[in-house]
Amino acid sequence: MRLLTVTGLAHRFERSGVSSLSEPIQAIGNLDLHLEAGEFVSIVGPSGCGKSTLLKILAELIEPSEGHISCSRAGGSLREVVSYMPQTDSLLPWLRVRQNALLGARIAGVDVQNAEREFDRLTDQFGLRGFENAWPAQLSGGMRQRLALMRTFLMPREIMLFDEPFGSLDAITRREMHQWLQSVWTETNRSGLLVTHDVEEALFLSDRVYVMTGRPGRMHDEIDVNFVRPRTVQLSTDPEFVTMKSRLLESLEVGMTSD
Amino acid sequence: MILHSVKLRCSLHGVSLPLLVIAGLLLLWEILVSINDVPAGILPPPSKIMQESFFLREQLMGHALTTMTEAVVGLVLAALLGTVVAGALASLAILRKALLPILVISQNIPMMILAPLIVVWFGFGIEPKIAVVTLVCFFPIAVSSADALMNADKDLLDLMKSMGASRLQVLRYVRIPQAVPSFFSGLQIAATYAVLGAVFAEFSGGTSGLWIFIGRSQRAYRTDQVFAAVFLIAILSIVLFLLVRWMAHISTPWNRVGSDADLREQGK
Repeated sequence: MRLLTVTGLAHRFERSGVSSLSEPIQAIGNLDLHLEAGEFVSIVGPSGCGKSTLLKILAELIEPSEGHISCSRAGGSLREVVSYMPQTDSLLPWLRVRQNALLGARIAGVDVQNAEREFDRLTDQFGLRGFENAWPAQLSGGMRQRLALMRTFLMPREIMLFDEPFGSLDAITRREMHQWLQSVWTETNRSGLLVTHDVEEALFLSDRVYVMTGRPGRMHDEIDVNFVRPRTVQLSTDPEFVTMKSRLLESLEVGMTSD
Repeated sequence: MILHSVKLRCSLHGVSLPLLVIAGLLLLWEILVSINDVPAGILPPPSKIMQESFFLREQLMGHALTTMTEAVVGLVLAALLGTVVAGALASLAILRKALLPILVISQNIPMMILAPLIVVWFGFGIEPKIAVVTLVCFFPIAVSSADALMNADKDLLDLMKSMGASRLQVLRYVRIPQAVPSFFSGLQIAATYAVLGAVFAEFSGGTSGLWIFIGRSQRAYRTDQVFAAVFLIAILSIVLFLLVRWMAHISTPWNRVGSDADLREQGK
């Protein structure tokens, strides 16, 4: 079932300041995208192609200049369907781990008790057992990221938006997190939209991968990824995986230069 | 053993070192005065000052209590007023434009001129002194808190917005806690002004307070007593400053943890 459909999306940033640079920047130009229920989709693209802008538009943080977004779930606002995880982990330093995790649920004001039960159930899985009362400053980079993911999970929303969630982690921790996220993901029936510039990350985690062009960003290629779950580290040396990876890298290259 | 020596060095840096420097300076002062045979009416040696302080301790304590009351009550009122003004400045751009020049002007009125005026309005009691301290102290608190309230982290604001947070929730979860350290930096600056502000205010008249005591001692050519009061003013300032620092310390427990390596290793 189709959950989210984006058609003809375009966004221009009005530049203020120096007059010679004052013409608006076209960040996204004529972009189409769809997301099925229960599907995990990644969007890879070069830096500055507008992928973060795209997520911010879907999280209703930015009003798009043009285009149409429709969601099959009833209700006026996308915000009631979507939970957003920003690029930085954005933990509140003055709240302890538990309160950070419950923040979204608390603000949405729905069923905080249920979220608390979920927190207790998920602490082991998210590797936060024993740290419920720690401050975010006491956590390692990976733990902070897991906590931010947990906060996103505990929001009662059907679509999760991830903006380069592992961008700040070292390579080894990042690989661990991929493993971990996909094992967590198999237990949920929600949909995910992840933005990254890491092709391997996209392939490992997703059911489908979009490739974006350079600015102004639009979809340039799309690839279905049908490896069985749960996926293991060995997948990254699988010939089919390698073929897909080289196709994606090629698409990225072509998309960057075609405009 | 190594741990022990590290601890020792830390405490040396924290408390003992400044005390050691002060003791050294006092000793130097004592020696120079006695070598050069300076008359006590011009510059008394520290030993004489301390002796006199001890001798007059009850009288000094009475005056110090007055000054300290003025400083502390004034500072507390300044903290309240500063917070209210900061909230107003941060929430309404029109107020910011309208009030900021007036606030700056209020800080540029020489206290020497204002103090007698305030006495005319409030009388000779403790109230005019408290008013002066409040006026001197609220500005740094208001400005630093207002800045912090307005310049909240953009990513955190985006996150809150994406969660559908109300303005009040943003204030409660992001803006206010983020402003707490800045509020305390402002309060620390204010605390260093508070005691001196109170002493200045006493200049306008009254029956009790360290400036009153200094005035009397000066007229009696008791330089040693003047210095005793000056020492006491310095000590009171330091005590008030440390008190505010301690309050800042306990109000921001999340800033205290720093990088707790042991805890991190466990959670890896």
